[in-house]
Amino acid sequence: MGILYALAGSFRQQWKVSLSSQQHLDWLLGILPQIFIVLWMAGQSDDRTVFDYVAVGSLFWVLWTMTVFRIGSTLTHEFYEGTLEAGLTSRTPLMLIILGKAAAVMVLSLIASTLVMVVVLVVLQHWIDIASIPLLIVSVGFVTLALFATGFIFAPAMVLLQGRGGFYQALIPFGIVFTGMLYPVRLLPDPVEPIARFIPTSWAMESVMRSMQTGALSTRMAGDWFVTLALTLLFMGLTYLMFRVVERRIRVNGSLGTF
Amino acid sequence: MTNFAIQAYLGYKGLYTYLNWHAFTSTVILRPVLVLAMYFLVGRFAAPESAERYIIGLAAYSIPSALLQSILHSFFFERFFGTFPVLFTARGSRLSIYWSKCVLYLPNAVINVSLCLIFGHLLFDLDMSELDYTTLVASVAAITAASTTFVMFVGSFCIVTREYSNILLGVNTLYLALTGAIIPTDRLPGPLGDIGHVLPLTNGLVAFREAFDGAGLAAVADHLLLELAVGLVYAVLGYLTFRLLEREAKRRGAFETF
Repeated sequence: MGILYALAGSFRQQWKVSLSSQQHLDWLLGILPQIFIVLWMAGQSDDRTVFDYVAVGSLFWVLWTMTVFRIGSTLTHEFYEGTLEAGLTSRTPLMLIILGKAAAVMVLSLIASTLVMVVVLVVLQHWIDIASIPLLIVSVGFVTLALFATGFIFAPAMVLLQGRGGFYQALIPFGIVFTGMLYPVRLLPDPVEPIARFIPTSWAMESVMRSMQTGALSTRMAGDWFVTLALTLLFMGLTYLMFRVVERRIRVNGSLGTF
Repeated sequence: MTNFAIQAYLGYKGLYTYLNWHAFTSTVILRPVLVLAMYFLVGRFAAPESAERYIIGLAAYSIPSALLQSILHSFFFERFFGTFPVLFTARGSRLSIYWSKCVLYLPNAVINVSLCLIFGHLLFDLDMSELDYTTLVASVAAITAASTTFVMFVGSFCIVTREYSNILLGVNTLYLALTGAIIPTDRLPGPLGDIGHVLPLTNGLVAFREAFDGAGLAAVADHLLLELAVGLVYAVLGYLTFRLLEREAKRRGAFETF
């Protein structure tokens, strides 16, 4: 019960901060023209499913771009805003506080990016062909979960790697290139395709593609979900270990600033 | 000349906050290649026959993109760190101050375009069999020169804004959408294609592309001269804007009142 209370509290705090910031709007306005460019590229194909794949994937592109930086910065922000020490002296695990904040960023960004994609498709007067809406919803849920786990790992990693400005300049496109958001990962050059196979989103995106093309649950789709879940848990486990290292270091040093 | 060199060096060292190994690797080495890979793979997914067009376009686009990332960054941090008042009260040549703000970022552009072409060739089978190296080098030089003056012009506006990322995103999008890097300018609706022709890169990109078809320098000279002419206009506009903002800053006594 205490865990849920702490989680809800940090979620609510971040939700209010994010809502009062104009940052969401800035990011959306910045990425919107790029979505049109990518959809123009997709429109060069005679195969309608290409456009549909890129359109659905653009939702996650927006979501990744909006969240990875802010989820990854949640822990370092605690330090910069001077609230980290208060958090550390409480009995709530640090990871739980940051988890609540990251979840708030994710939910708000998901709502914003979904609205943007609906507007884009209405403007383009394009309706996506979906063989099974329930399967697509489940698959989208898996992609969101995978994206969350992939972004969340950077909260402690940013502290451990002493990440300064510029770190995300490559991380954002890296997440798009290797996660199959805008094209199936089989199109990656052979030497780098295995990298994508270690990222949960690439498996979840394959299930999105399948749910758009086939109306029935298949073993391959279930396999995609299973691998997505397994890799997501692995990422969350790694994140947990990294948080423990961070917390221990802070307690030994007495301050995050001495990292 | 010594003052110019000192200004350029100290400005670079003090304001380029990406000057540590992981930020530099992320921004200058990895990012351009990843952006190229992203658009190229979408292109290959949609229309494999056009994919090579995207590699060439995006390799050229990486030049202004690198300059935008670094020069706008330095303009913004000049204000953020509060060093502009010192600069504006100095007695040194304004021309020297203005141009010293860009010279050490030029290698970033060359690194970006070189990496894009090398990775494009190694990973995405970019055909370089007919490449005319002289034309390629000349077009890279022209695009870099024109893009630098344009980015310096835009950079002046970063002095008077609280957040420069919107300017960065906006100008980056203009480059991607209107210069022919991805969408051919003749396929842009209405006046958008004409807007592209007053931006740096559009004309230089034609020469850059033709270099891959083996075109010699004489065949693309018109495009290169046009590119340089566009750059010259922005050089004058940029310097005048910088001086105008300096005058306004002195008159008002603060940038924050803009």
